[in-house]
Amino acid sequence: MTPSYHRPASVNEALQLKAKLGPGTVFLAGGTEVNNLHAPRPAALIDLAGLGLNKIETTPAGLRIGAGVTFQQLIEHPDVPAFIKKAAGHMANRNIRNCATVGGHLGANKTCANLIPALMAAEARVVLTDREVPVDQFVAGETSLVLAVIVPTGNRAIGLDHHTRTASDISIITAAASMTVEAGKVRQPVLAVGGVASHVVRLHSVEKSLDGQALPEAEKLEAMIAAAVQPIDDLRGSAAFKRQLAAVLGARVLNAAATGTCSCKGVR
Amino acid sequence: MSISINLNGSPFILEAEAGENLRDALRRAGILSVRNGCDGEGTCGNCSILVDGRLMNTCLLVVGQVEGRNLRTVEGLAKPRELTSLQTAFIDAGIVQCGYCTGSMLMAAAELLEKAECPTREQVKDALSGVFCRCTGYEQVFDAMNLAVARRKDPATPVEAPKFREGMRYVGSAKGKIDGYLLARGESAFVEDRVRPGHCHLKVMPSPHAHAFIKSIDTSKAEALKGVVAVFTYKNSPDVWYNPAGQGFPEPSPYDRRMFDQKLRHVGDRVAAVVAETPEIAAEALKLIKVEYEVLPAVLTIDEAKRPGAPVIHKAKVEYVVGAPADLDKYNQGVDPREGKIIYQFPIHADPHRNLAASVHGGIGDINKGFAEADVTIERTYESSQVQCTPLEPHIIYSRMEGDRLVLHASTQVPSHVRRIIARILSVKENKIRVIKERVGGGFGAKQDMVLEEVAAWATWVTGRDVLYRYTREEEFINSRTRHVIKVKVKVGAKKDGRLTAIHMDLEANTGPYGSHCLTVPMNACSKSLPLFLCDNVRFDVNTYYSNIAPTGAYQGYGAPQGSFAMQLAAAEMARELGMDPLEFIEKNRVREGVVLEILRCLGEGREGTPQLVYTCGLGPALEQGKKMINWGVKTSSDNPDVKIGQGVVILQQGSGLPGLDSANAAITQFGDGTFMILSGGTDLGTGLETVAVKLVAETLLIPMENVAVLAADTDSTPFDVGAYASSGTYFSGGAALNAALKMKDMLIKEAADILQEPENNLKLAWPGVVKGLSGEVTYEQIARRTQSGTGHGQLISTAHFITDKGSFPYGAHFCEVAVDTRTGKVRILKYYALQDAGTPINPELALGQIYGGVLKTIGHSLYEEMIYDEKGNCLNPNFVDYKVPQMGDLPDDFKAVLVDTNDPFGPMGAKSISEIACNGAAPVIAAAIHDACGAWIRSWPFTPEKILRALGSVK
Repeated sequence: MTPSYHRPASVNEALQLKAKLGPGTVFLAGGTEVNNLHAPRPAALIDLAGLGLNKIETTPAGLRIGAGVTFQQLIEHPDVPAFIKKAAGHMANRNIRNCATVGGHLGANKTCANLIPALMAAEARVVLTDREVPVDQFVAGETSLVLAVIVPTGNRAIGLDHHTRTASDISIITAAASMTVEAGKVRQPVLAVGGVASHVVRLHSVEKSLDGQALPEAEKLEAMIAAAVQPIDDLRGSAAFKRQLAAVLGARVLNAAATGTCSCKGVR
Repeated sequence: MSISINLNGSPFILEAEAGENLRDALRRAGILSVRNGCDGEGTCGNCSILVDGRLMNTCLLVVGQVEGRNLRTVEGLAKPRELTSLQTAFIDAGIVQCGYCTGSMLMAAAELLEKAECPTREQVKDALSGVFCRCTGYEQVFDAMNLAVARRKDPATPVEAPKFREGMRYVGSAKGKIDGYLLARGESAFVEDRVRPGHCHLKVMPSPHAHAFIKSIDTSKAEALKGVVAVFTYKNSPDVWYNPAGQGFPEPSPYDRRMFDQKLRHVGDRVAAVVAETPEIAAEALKLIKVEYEVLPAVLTIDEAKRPGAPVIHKAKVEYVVGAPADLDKYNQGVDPREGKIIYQFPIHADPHRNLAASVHGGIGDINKGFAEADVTIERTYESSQVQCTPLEPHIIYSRMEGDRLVLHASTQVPSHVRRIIARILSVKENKIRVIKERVGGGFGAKQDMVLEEVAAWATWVTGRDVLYRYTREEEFINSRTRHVIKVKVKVGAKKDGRLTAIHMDLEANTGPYGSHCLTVPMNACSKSLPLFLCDNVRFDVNTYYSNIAPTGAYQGYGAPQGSFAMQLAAAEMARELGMDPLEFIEKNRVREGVVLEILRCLGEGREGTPQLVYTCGLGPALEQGKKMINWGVKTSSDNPDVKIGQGVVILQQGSGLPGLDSANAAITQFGDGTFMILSGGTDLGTGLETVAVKLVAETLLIPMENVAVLAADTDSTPFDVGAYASSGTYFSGGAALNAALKMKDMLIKEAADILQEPENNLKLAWPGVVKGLSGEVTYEQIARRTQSGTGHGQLISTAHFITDKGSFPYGAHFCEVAVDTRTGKVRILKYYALQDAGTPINPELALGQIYGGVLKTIGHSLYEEMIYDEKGNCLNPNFVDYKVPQMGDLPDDFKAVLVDTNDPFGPMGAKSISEIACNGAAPVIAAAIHDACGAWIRSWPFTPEKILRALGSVK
């Protein structure tokens, strides 16, 4: 009934416990997902709090954010770039941000994730126990334990936007973009959109069409994005509505990335 | 296991499994303030504490995660018998209403004040963003924080609140809420705090089908399970038909349900109940009950329900107490006995065999002539969604025997009605039952119905055991009460100059499986919206249908929010049609003082109504002031070309209780030292009603408020009162308290006359509690000592009641300004100004809180909230993840409630009601502003971004 609780002191110990305890064993970080009413009841909990993963460090490869860092820590830490703080601030509410962790967020890998699009746009890498993978590769199928995220340092502007029903609702659509603009031409753009597939995705077809071109007018961008996404009908809206949102927010974040302005506010 | 933590500054051993939920473990350890509003999804934040100085939901933590850490709860905020300046600021600013979320709000505020010297509005919003409060509308949290900051420097800083009635000490001034101390300290106050060791748990097996018969049911395995005390089904429960609506007897709501029935009429309807030693055993036992169902097609909408040949929800045998039609026997021919009965106390023009639950038709003047005279006629249809009251404390009852009497610790708006209805179901005398209304963690109308009380009462009566029965949040959504789904076709005719010539409201309502308030809620949609406009030719048609959606019932506003949405938006549409300023259109047609509301003759809650004279009406000043505040008619634009800004204005009204139907009683007893106790039947839901009673007594008897204690809503100790509904509290229960005080005044003068040997008309009461004559004076204490002595006339005890045939209508005007992102459909409320007339606001700070709370709730209904069903009648969003309610982050950018002064001749010391009217403005005023902004009329709740985009044509 009550799950057993384990608190390993090292990553190795955590992995061994996971293997030993068998099915129904889950890693526990902040608890907002795992301890939630709507989550399956686990048989065993492996609390990662003792692994020392809650640090934010500047490294040559970029900012290394430990998997145990909470969303509120991101918001309050002086070295964390503004776009990450902003994306973290879109998460639910203060109570949740005080507990929810970066690692847990990646582990849950939801399509409504608020931070993942920003990390994708920043071309961040996820540190696993044995290797590093780009964020988009991680969300496409990895399930192994996350130790950290590395956000490379760069000068690219990141455009961010999201749409929710209420302020503390989960996002229906999220969008984030980055690019370099050289002589009026878009170079190596990234466009990440949440809410249109089972997890956050990069719209590679749109990125490819934009690369090397001048950024088209909003209307054309919207049409390109609308054609590239396949959202589904659900309680929060029809596929047609979500496609419209993805197109509008996608075009806005691309424009924001191109011009270096942030369109996070949505209204006003 | 023993797990060490630091709790409120001291080492503490928590006896719990490390993997156990922290909230449960803390409650068991006596930390009561970790309240449960969402069953552990982390959406309500009412279980928040500080862990190492940070606000967290204890429901989302397991005990192991906090080992060795510092935990702070509201219990540790102040020293015993004290309050911190933050707690005092919360009470003084009026932000403590029902108190269920108060502990969590306070901890959120405490964390912020430890980190920020002088927090900004944005910081406050962020700090409290995770705590869901349904009562207060949050706005006064900012006042509380500012007050707490100011009192750091100057502890004597007074609260800034409007003041009314110079010359009065308490009435019309902010004096705090008398139960604020208890609630702000997070003390034992609610039903869940009253449970005793060894009590049983009751769980109900919900119907998996929206419409079905039970073909067979076998409970033998469940009964055999160790730890099961009793199992109840339709076979071993009272064969009594009743309606759980808490209305004055005889009720207009039909007696159309049984405690357990062979027919199931909605998903979640009661199949069986298990009483067991633990919740786990009860849950296990439910799984062992074998049921075979005969599934019937479900009816979900009004259109389906009224279709000829539609499945019939109640093909029941019909009985009338009075007024049976002559052909009743014929009507009852061939009914299936499994369908049970419906008993009408009097006719409500129902035809249940065609799913018609109730109907009423009426009007004044000549509607055809009115439309013929019109230069412009429009006809529009407006629809409301099914929204849930969502009190943070779900329905809960704790029942126990005391000797041969049944004691119910209840969270109810209607303790006297609960006693009456349960006595009837159990076939016992009312004097065998005591209902103690504890602090209620939000009612809003859902607790005007007896929703679960009778099942626990029956279980205790049969087994003799203490029984706790508490709804889950999901049960609260699908088994409690919601707003009736209402569709109104409004036809309006007007002359070119804007004068209304005819109004027709053709209203259809969906009452769901049972007829709680099925006549009166839809009727009230007309009776609170039609009299706002002066028009000679008015007609209304009301038809309410049964269906298989979740039950509906009373919800703050009681139909008026839906009626007001239709009528006010139709007025706005007509104004546009005429090319007139909507405000000018309102001015041209609105009600004013001195008018007789003839239409009320045909809107009498199932009986003939009485036309009412409008004695006071604050609409003039409310409209004038609101117009200035919002810069009416001055078009503003956004920097973002996709964002359009628009304004709206609407007018609203409600009643103050039900004249001719409601009645309230109160008694005042004098203690030996000259202090008093008021025994009030009134039911305080966190609104400040007990404070109203104390103020009225103190003001009348010229004594400090602290010389008046109050005991209310305990059916053994306090006199009869219909309860808290229909905005009756201040007017009726307050009126009874005032009348009792006036009688006590007479008694004091009579005794003093005897002591001073002076004629009574020489004497008058004087501050602070003396009777003055020409020859001298005598204190209340002297009077008390004498009357209570062996030679006295006996303790002074006054009793009084309050009834009236006069209706005092509160009025209001709401203005708002919205920004619509025309590409995403997102609506942001930039300004919302609610200007209302409450007569004398006896507790002005709490009256403002009622306005803010009513407005924010209905902003939710307008923009976010709706229960969604699949085709089989399963509610798909019975939780706060998927049913979105407004929280602090959703406040209008600029939100102001204003009390417009009027002085009512009938209410106690000039008071009118406050609680419901604020719910009537948001839907029409936001819809009107959306149209003004972007040109789209959104005529159904909620005004989602998708609906707006569809109306604008960008989503097909």
